[in-house]
Amino acid sequence: LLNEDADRAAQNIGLPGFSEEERGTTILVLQPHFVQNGSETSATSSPLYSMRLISEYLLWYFWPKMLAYGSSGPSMVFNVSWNGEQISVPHPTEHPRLKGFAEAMYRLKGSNLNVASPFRHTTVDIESQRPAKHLGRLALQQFPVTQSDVGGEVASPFEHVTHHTALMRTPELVVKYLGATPSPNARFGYAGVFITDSEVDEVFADAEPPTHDDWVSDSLTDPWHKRYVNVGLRRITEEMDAFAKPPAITSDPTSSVTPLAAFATGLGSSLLPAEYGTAASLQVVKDRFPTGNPEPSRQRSEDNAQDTEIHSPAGSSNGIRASNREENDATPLPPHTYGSDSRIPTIPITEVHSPPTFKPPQQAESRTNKPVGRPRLTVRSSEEFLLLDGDMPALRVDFVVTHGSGSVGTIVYAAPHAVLDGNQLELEPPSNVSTPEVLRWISPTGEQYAGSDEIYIESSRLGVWSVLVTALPDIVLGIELSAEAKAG
Amino acid sequence: MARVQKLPYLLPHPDRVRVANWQLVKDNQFQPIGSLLPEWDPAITIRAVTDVSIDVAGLLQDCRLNSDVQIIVAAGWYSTGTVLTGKGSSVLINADKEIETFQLSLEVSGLFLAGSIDLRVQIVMTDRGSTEQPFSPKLKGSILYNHVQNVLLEGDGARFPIEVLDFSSAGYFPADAAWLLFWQPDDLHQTVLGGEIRLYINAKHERVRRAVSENRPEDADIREAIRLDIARNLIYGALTNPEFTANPNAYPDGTIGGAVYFMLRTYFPDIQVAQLRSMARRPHIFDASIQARFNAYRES
Repeated sequence: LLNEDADRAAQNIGLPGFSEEERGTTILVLQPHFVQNGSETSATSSPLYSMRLISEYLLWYFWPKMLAYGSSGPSMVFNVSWNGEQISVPHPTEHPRLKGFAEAMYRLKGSNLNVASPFRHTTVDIESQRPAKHLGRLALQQFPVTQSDVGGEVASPFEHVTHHTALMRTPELVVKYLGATPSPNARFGYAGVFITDSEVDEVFADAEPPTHDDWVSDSLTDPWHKRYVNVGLRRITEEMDAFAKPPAITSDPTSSVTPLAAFATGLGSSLLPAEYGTAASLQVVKDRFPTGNPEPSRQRSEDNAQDTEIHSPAGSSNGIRASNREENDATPLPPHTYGSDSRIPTIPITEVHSPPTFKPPQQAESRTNKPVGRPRLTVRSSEEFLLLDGDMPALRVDFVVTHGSGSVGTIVYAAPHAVLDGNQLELEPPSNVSTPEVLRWISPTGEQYAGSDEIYIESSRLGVWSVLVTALPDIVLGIELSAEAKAG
Repeated sequence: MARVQKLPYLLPHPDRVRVANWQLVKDNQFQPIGSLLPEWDPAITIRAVTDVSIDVAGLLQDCRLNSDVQIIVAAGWYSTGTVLTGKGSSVLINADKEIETFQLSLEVSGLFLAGSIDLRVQIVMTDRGSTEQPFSPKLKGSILYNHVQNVLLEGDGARFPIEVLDFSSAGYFPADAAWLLFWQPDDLHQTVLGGEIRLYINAKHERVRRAVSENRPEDADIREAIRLDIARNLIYGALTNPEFTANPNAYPDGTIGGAVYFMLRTYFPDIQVAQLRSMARRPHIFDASIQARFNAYRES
């Protein structure tokens, strides 16, 4: 049916006509079946419920048309009624979710600005760099999110629209709500409005599917046009993400740093005592030093020749003992007492034996198969420089061997090396350089044995043994001593 | 296996040198530095001094050095977290004196530090002089003595998240307010240290900014007011959250709910949460209870 025939038919079935200047479309749905989300409960299947939902969706797509700018009225007026009863269509500025969008639209238009608003807002141009094109303008507006009824009893489409931008072309009908990063504080949301530039409006129109509810670049053929749509959507999302970040981001990074640790630590220990932070804490010290002594190097005194399993001076990489004694003040030192003998100790030339070696029993059957315990070798921290045989610089290291249970003796190995950076031993020295060697072993009773990397000590020979190694100038000397039990 | 490590020259007996405990210098006041500085942060510059007393004659004798030797005593620092090192003041020792006493100092910006700092005093030979004794130090730069005081700067001690911010640039923050506790009492499952709870100090509010950053005694009441305000905020927020009051110990460690519950158990160990909720309905009395339990405005 066309023209006058159509008008007559419409009049006969009760459709309102148009006056001479009016243009538009009238849609009639015959015998509608009201179902909300597939559930046909009495509440959601009522015609009134559906009319209210229609009112919400009118807002969803057409709220920009309800706004008035300056002295002119809104470009469209909406009425919803059911059997003569008016159904409310709230104004966007009074809708708990749309008021942010309305304010963003006002920002974009430069009209009806609420200058006293305490909420953040920004307006930016969205552009494509290559090819250079102005794609449109975006306004973002922060707004408080209240949990008050959105849509009343109706399941409103706006319920979760708290971090979205309404995308629209120049006719200013909402195509879709583009979501991005939510605000970190759920009490505040943001609403954006993006309107395409009139020069690219046709491109975005072509990107819309028949339902006009999206911009899809795949439906375009011109590669530049595809890029306009893709770049536009990406730039809008980037602007939204940046806007969503917490206000801390807006602090001036060039301003001087304010020391807050003392106050933060005081508040933390008072109000968040169970929480972890970054403050130095006693607990950490306790964990780090399980012995309960936060300063392990304090335990050791230079002149205290206690037996020690491993003598590696704490806090030092070069062999200097790093003392860490706490004293309230550097009290004047007492008059120093010089050693009675300040000369370098010297061992004169004397009879030197070959070092004893372990000789396993000849008869295999005489050997015992009993397991032997591990020997223990402890170094005494009283190593001393001396001149061996009158003039050979040497370092004497004293040690005690505790023989393993059931053993007949222990082989002690001495391995002297230069020490490199990082306290590593130089296991492969360069050729043609002097390397430290074992010069002599001395028994508890004073017998001297020639230099060898190892010596066998019978379990009956108890007491403090010494090993003498070359003291080369200008190297840090490292000596490793190990022990191996021997069964009879 | 046992290991011995030895420098190739003689060292002085440790008793030849005494290094006093390092002192922190702040506003011309001295305070001893212990094994940790819980109040340190990268915005804090460490200024420290120590007194050193050296038995010079004994040191020279121990090292077989003559009085024409040149040795200096120097302060320095090393940070374990940044692996940076730096020097403080140094003094040339008069080798003709029997005993010398010095004050050494160092200053290091917090931006160079992390983890812990070693405060060092070293005695270094810069010229061996005329000695020809075996085992005496020979090379320039030989370290004769090394004293280290290790101070822990960072650990895992509680620290309330705080940020100084210009409220006028922060959107919905009231521009002239002094501070604002940012949190969401209706979601106590959020993490404490993930930024979901933070005390903002208005950078434009000079008095409060100074009170929280400079820790002066005359500003103690402002700090106390903030502490009490946060405590009230957290307590009332949690007690008006039905999920919290129904099941207060259901929040894991590290959540705001867990932290507030722990705080309530700390300050109100004898009162159940349900009872506290009832008390909170009469805020004029409950506020006073909070003051009392938090020992508010008392000399620390």
